[in-house]
Amino acid sequence: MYCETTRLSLFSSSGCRRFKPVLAFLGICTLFLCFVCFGVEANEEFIPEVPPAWLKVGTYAEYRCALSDVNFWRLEKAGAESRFGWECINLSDHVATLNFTLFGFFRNGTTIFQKNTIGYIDVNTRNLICSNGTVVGKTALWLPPYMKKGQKVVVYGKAPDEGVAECFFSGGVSARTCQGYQESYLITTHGLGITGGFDMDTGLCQDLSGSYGHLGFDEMTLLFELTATNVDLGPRYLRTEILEFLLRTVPITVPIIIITLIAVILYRKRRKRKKRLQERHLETSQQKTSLPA
Amino acid sequence: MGVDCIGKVCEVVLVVCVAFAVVSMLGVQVVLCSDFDYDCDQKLDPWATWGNMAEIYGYYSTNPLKYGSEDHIAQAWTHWPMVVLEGKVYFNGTYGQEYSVYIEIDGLSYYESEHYTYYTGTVSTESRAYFYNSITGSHFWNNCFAHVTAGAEP
Repeated sequence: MYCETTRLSLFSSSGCRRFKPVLAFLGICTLFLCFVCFGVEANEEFIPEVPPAWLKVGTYAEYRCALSDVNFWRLEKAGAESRFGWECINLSDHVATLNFTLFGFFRNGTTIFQKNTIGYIDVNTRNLICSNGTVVGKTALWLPPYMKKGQKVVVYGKAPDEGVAECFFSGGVSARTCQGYQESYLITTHGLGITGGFDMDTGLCQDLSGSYGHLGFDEMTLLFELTATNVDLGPRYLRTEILEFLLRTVPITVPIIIITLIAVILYRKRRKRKKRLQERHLETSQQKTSLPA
Repeated sequence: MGVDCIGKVCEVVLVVCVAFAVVSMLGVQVVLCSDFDYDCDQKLDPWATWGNMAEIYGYYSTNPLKYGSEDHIAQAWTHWPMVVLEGKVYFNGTYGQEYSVYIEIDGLSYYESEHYTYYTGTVSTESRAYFYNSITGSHFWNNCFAHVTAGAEP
């Protein structure tokens, strides 16, 4: 009876009046939530630029790189390697002075060639600035950390000829670096030449395909692997560390596991047999002792 | 009169024949010995295999420069758990009238073919694929570097 009256009161004119403020409040809340959600989504389409907290005077990074140079490629067959590196030599206000180096060497230590240039990067915008003050455009030596899937970031050039990349993998992937496997996010410009991985915690470039003419190194086309840095990249990505170790050691670990398993099974079987024999022996001895009684 | 006429006609025919022979000798396509080599950095990637082949035609025209055309194919095959995420081609050299490149990625393989004509001297092509191991989660680039030299002087 009570339930019926309450139900009736909800649909009656007096009930409507009573719930009107509640409904209005709920409506406003829903609208506000929708606005906030869409607003946040619109803001998050492009990840906001964050100056790298780890960048200090003396910070450096070095990469194994690929050169589009036939002569060097011939030398590579004889054991030559190439490295690209940058080092922060000055950091004043928001402009970092970087010393870029590209060099080739033989594994015995002989230098084949070495090139150096100085560049200025606005840490707030990642814009590369020439010594005469002209803005060359964005660089992708580092990007904001923790990019989410679908977020966009400008990786080269300046407006209106900017290269926009989109994050297509965020976490769950990793790259081999000088500090072990590090979790990363992957970006691509969708056929415009730049694809690569960046460290999740710091945003430092791990590997990147692109052109580096704006840094003064036309021949360089790819950063293969981060070989040296004093930036703390954070904890190792254990999933890859463990699985890579297991996969690499499969020829050794699998036979060992099989042999130990067989050994354990055989040992258990023998123990069971021994136990059974002992039990039988006990039973027979007990029977023998009980018979004369 | 008749003999003179025949003689003149013969002279003209001879000149035309000689001219034709000279032009055809200069312009005819001659497949020359060409140099093709490639190297793929497979040390990083025990899962993927690269295939690479090229057909090179070197020939001469009236221009003293060396010219040639090349059809070049590079392919990277993988198998599970490796996935091809991206592929790129870098052409390094001078090509003239025509250059076309075709890339196809279907997850487990990367296929790239190039055709270019009238290149001079040497050209090099970098073909690379971006791999991802779906078990371990690691990603890396792998390179295949092809180097082609135009036909040698006859």
